[in-house]
Amino acid sequence: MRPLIAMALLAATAGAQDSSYSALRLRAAVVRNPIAGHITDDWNPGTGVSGEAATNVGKAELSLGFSHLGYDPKTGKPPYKATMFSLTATRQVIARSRVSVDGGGRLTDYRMDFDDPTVGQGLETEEEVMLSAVGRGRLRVRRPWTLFGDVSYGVLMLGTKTHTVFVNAGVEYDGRMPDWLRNFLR
Amino acid sequence: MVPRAESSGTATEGAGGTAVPDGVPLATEAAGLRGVAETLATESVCAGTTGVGGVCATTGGTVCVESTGFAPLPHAAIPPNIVTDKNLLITISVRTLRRLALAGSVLLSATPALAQRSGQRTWRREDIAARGWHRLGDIVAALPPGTAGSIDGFNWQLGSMSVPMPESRSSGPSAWLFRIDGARIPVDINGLWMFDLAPVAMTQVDSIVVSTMPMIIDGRPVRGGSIDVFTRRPAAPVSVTADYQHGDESGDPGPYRYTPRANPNVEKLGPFTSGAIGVRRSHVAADAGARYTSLNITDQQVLADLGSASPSVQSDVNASGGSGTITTWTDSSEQKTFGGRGRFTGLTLVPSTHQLETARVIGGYGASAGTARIGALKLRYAATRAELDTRPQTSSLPFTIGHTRALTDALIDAPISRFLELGAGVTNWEATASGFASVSRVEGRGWASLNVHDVHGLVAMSVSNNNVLPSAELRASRLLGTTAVGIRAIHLSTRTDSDDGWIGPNGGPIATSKALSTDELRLTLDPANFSWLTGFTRVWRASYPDGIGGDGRWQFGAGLQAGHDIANRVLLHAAAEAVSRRDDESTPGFSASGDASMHAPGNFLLAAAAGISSETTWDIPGSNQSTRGIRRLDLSANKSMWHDRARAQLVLRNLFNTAERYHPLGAQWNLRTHLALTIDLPPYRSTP
Repeated sequence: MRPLIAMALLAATAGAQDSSYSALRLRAAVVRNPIAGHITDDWNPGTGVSGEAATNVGKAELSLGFSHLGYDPKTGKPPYKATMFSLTATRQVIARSRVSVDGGGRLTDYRMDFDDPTVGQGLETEEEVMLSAVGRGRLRVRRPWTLFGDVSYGVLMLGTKTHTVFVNAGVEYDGRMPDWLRNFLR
Repeated sequence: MVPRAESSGTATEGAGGTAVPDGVPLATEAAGLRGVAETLATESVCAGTTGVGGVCATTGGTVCVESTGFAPLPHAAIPPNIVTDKNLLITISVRTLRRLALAGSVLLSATPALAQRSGQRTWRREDIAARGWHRLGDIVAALPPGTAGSIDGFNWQLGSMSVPMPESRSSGPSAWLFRIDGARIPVDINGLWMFDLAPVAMTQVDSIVVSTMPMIIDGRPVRGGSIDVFTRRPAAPVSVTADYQHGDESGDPGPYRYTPRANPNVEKLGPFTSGAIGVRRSHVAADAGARYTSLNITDQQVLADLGSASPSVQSDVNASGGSGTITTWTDSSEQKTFGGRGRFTGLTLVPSTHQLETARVIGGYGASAGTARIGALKLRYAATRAELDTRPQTSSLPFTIGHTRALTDALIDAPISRFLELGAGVTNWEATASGFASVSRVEGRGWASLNVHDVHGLVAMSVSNNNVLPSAELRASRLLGTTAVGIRAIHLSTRTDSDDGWIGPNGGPIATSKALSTDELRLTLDPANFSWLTGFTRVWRASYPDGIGGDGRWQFGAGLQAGHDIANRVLLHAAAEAVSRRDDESTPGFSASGDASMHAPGNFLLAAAAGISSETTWDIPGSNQSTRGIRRLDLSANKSMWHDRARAQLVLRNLFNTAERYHPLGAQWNLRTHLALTIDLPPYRSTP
C-alpha cells in the first residue's frame, strides 16, 4: 500500500512541476505589411523576412522574433528599412488534429533606418514601440515540420498613431530545448 | 533602525528578549524567501524591538523581523502571549511558489498600531522589481498619484493629500522626512527633492517604507510624510550586483518627419544604472555602490517654457554618485555607518522661486545609525553630517539659488521601562551664500513615549530660535464586536523658520517667523471578516500664516487601504483617499492606486499598477495653472534566469497613452517602454 501511495504522491508532484522551456520552436517566414496607415501615402512596404524562436511557458508560448523589410518611396521621400524585434505571447485557442490556432499579444520595437544623407548624425535611425494583437494558424505537415501563418493588428506609437497589419507565412521546426539552455532559463 | 529579531525553529525571540510563542506556523525554507508586509502595523512581531516591525523574512530556520524604526515603541508593545497584531499580516514566499500566510490572530485587545495602519506601506525588493524602479527618484511613485510634482520626472516636489505643493504654497520647513537606515538624509534644495543625491544606489536597497500622513518622527513634527530606505546586509562572503535600465518614450515622428505630419522628436529615458559590491565576514559587512541616471528633456512644453534660453540649456538632466556602508551587528544590536557623494546637473524648476534655473548640486554625506546595548539599556541612535552645495551651471537662465547648506543631526532614544521611552535630538543647520554672512541655527528636541495596554501617547518638544514648539500624539484602539477601531489624534507645532525653513532661496536667512500648526484626528476601522481591508476617516486642519498654505479651514478625508493575497499566488494592494475642498488645490482631492503582482509559470513575475487622481490647480505667480489629473496603467514582466542570478525586465508605463503631467508647466509623459537587466551574484536574500 505504501509504495502505491508514494507513487501517487510522486506522480502528483511531477504533474505539478513546471514544464516550461521544454520545447524550442524555430520559425522562418516572409513578411508583408499590407496596412500601414498614412505611411502608405508616401511609401510602399516591400516583402521582408522574419525569424522567430519560441518556447512553451506554462500553457502559453513565448517567442522572440526578428523581421526586416524595406519601404520604397512613392513621392520622392527617402526610402527606409524597418527592422523589428518582437516579443510575442500566445496561447492555443483551437486544436483539431493537425491544425491549431493560437492567439495573443505582441510587443515590437520598430526600428527605422533612413537612407537620407542630408540628416545629421544620430537622426538616421529612430525606434518606436508597436503594440499588436496576433493570431496564428498552424498546420502540422510531418513532425517536426509545421506550416504557419500569422496576422497581427497593431498600433505603431509614432507621433501620428499608425494602425498596421503585418502578415507572416512560413515554416516552423519543433524541437526540444537543450538542457543547458533550459536550465539557464529556469 | 533597530536590529532584526532572530530566532530558530518556530519561536521568535525579540531583541528585547520577549518570545513569540511556539506553534506559529512559520515557513523555514532555506532559500528564495520573501517577506512582504500585507499591512503595516507599527508593531513588531517580536515584542521587545523598539521601532516598527513591518516585514518578516526567513532564512533557514531563522525568523527575522525587520524593524523600520518608524516610531519608537516601548519594549512591551506586544504582550508576550499575543502572537501578532491582527493587522500585521505577514506573507512569506518561497521559491517553490508555496507561500505560507502568517496571519495574526484576532486580538482580545487591539494594539495602538491600528490607528497607524492607514497611510503606510513597505516595498521590498520584489515589489521594487515589480514596479520597475531602478533609481531612488522612482520611489515617488509610491506616493498617492498627484501628490508629487515635477516638470521632468527627475526631481520632485512633494505634497500630500493635505499639504500643498511647495511651489504653490511654500510654507516653512520641508513637510517630508527622508531617512536611510534611520538617519536623516537631506536631499531637497529649496523644495525640490533630488533623491539621486542620496548616498545609496538602488541595488543597495533592501526595502522602502513610505508613510503619507502627519507624524512625529524622532521628536520632529512631519506634516506630509516620510520615506525610509533600508539598505541590504550582504549575505554572502562576496556579492556583486549590477543593474541597467534603458527606456524609450513613444511619439517619435518616424517617417512622417518628411511629411506635413511631422512632429518633434522625443528622446530616450536613461540609462539608469547602478552597481554594488558587498563583502561579509562574521558580524561585519561592507557594501560599496555607484550609480548613474540620465534622461533627456525634449518635451515641447518644457522647451516652450525655456523660450530663447533653450539652446543654452543642457539637453539632459543627470545624476551620479558613489556610496559605501559598513554594517556591524550582534545578537541584539545592529549598526550601519555609511557615506557617499552625489551629483546632479541640469535644469531645475525651483519651487521656492518659481524659476527655471540650471544648477550643479553636490551632496556629501556621512551618517551612522542603529542600536547599541549599554548594560541593560538598549538604545537607538542616529547621526548625520551632510553638505549640499548648489552651484551655477552655465546657461542663459538667471541663477539665484547658489548656496551651501550643511546639516548636523543627532539623536538618541532608549526605553526606560516597559511603558516609557525617552529620546533627545539636536539639529544644526548652517548656510553660506554669496552676499550673505554665514548663518547657523541649532534646534534641540526631546520626546517621551508612553504605552499602556492599548493606549499610546507621545509628547515631543523642540526648541527653535527661542521658540518652544510642542507636538503630541495619542493613539488608542479597541475591539468592538468584530471590528477593531483605532483612533489617533496628533498635533504638530512648527514655525516657518523651523528646521531648514529659515534658509531662504539664496542661502540667506528669511525674515518671517510665523506659527504653523497641523492637527489631525484619524479613525481607523478594521473589520475582522475582511482582515485585508482598512477603512479610515480623518479630520485635518492646518493653521498657516496668511497666504501660505491656507487659512485654517477644516478638511475632511476618508479612504481605504487593502492588501490581499489570493491563493498564495497573487498579491493585491489598493489605496484610495478623497478629501474635502481645500484652499489650495495643487494636490488632488481624490487619489487612488492599485497594484497586483503574480508569480507565473516559467519563473516570471508579472505585475500591473494603476493610478488615478483628480485634477489639480497650482497657485503659480501670475496665473492659476491646472493639470488634468493622472490616469495611468503600468505593466511589467520580470523574468528570472540562471537560478535568480539574472533578471530581465520589461516595463510599459502609461499603457493607454493618456494625459500624464505632474506639473502645469511640465512634460507630458507618453507611453514609454523600459528594458532592464539585473545581475545578482549570488542571488540576493534578506538575511539577518
